[in-house]
Amino acid sequence: MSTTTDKRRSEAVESRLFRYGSVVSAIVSLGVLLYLRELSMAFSRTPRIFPSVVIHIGIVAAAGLVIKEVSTRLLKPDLLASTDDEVMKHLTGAASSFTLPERIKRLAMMGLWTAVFFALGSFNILLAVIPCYIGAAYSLGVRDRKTLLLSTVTLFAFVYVVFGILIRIPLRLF
Amino acid sequence: MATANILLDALAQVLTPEVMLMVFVGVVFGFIIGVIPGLGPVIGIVLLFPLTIAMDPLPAVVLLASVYPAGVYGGSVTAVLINTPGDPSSTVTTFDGYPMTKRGDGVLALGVTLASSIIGGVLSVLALLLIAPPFARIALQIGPSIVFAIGLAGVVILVIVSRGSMLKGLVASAFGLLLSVVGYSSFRGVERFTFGVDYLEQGIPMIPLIVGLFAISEAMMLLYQGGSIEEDKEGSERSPETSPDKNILRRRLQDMNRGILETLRRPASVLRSSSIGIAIGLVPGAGSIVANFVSYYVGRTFSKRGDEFGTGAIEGLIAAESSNNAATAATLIPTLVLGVPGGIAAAILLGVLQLKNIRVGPQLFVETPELAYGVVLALLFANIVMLFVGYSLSSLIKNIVEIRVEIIAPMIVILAILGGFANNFSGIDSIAVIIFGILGFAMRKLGYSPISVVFGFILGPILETYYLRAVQAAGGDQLAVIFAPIPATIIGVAGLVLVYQLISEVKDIRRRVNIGN
Repeated sequence: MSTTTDKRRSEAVESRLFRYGSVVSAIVSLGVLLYLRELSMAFSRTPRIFPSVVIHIGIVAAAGLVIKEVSTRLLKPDLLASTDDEVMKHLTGAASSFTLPERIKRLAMMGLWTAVFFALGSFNILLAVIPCYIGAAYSLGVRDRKTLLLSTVTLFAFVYVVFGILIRIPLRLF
Repeated sequence: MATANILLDALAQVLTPEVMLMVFVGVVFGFIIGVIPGLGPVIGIVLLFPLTIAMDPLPAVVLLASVYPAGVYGGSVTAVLINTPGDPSSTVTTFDGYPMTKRGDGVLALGVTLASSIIGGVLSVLALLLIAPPFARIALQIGPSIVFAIGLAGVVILVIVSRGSMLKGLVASAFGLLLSVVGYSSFRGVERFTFGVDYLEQGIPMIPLIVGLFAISEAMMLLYQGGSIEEDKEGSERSPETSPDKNILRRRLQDMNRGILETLRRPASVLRSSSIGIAIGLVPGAGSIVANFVSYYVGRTFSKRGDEFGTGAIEGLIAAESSNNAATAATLIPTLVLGVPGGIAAAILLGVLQLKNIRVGPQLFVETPELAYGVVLALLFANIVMLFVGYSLSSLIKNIVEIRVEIIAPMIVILAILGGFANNFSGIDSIAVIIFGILGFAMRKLGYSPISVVFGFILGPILETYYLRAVQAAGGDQLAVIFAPIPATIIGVAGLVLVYQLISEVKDIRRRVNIGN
């Protein structure tokens, strides 16, 4: 019962995030394009021509987007086109089996192990693959030893052959 | 005669062990990546992209080009077996493929899928071989303003066919086009939009951008959405290919053979769907997703058994599969001939050629004909290799589709970071991969298509070059470039289609309001 409630609450929070995020992103897009327009004014004529055309087309689209997002996400949500609904359903991950905190936790775990990979990669990027992959998979819920071993060996073999032997990358990331 | 000699030269280049190995590796990798849940041919191409840095142009392009048809087929396998298209271009495949699996004909459906895909692919390559060279000769006479107009129309079409809001698509395309102008301009050496950051002086590197936007964002999306594709137990439990059986392999091969024969018994459906796929693949930006839907719609309308479509009809499956694979090679026609990518995979191939300093466009068939024909012939071999790979790997399919996203996602992240690093042996590029990945994830969550960004990024330098050439030819008059008869017609038609789509959206809104009232 509480899981269902948690899930509904998660969906409500996510839906709100999506709604306001859509509006904010549209406004940010317009703002960035207006800022780039100002920057492009400093270029001499020839290098300015193409960016200027793109920026002006972009400004028209972004302005239209701001109007549309404000009117459909905030003022009259029933005016949303069906295509927008489909995208929202797809993007908000409505089919997911996890609550929002769980999803964020999964992303955070992946982020943490990515950071560890960068840190260990400063010493030996090929060997860093092994602890980081195992750590990430384990923290994401993979407990079966055989699966972990097999996937680690497969990944390391692929990385070693492609990046170690064929491309010959240096061992230190930084 | 000259063409025959060039073809023979190209064939000799393709038949070298290195190129054939690339075809084989590309097909196997594409198939496996296509079968893995949530991944598709584009991710496969992106992950192999860094590997091509040290290669010669032909093997590099062949490796990536071979991934595409195999990846599309791999995506169809999951569409058939577990109702999960591995790639959007296999969406329609689920309509009839999955019902066939549910009634116990899953492997038969795979046979139909394999045969349809290969026939569609081979016909498409033949079309490429026949159409591209004369098309290139005509294209050589085309002025820069027309190429610019076609490129612009390609952007507009991509925006239209992308899922979701068109306005967001336009903004994303503009973002991609602007990213392409970051760094020193080749025109008069002016620094543009670098914000004083040294890393940006040489422009935004293509590999970290593409790998980040696609691979990292995909891994994040997989983790975020969670679950695994085998959750839909209903179909998989009923289908015989997932039940333990000592003679299962033999039975699977028999079913595969039957599927191939069933396809060959329906030449009209295969030809019709392949033709639609080729025609749509020719349109820049349209690609195999649109081909898939249009072909299915046409097939349902003209087939005697149209009412059976959606219930597990073999003709429905053929309509979906022949068209999406036919479109894959056809998208290379505008890519190679005009330098205007026919789809996202074609755009990445174009990026590889740009990195190798190969001039793409009508000159390709004049300056480096062996390379142009070599790519086409290699695609033909890729389709043939796909027959054997798809056939022999069918027994492994069940194991691959059951891989959990928690296994896949960390692999993608690690490979993407290494891929970014391999670009320039610089850790900064790896960090850029992560930054672009987070950006791509945020964009996807908010409904902006990373595909449009990459499309704009790759098309940007081409559009700028042709636009400036056209302006120069017109004596500096920008309006004369756009309002010349042919460019104006092309841009006008693209604009009309855009307006038509916008009107359709407004009608949809009004219909909803009326229903609400």
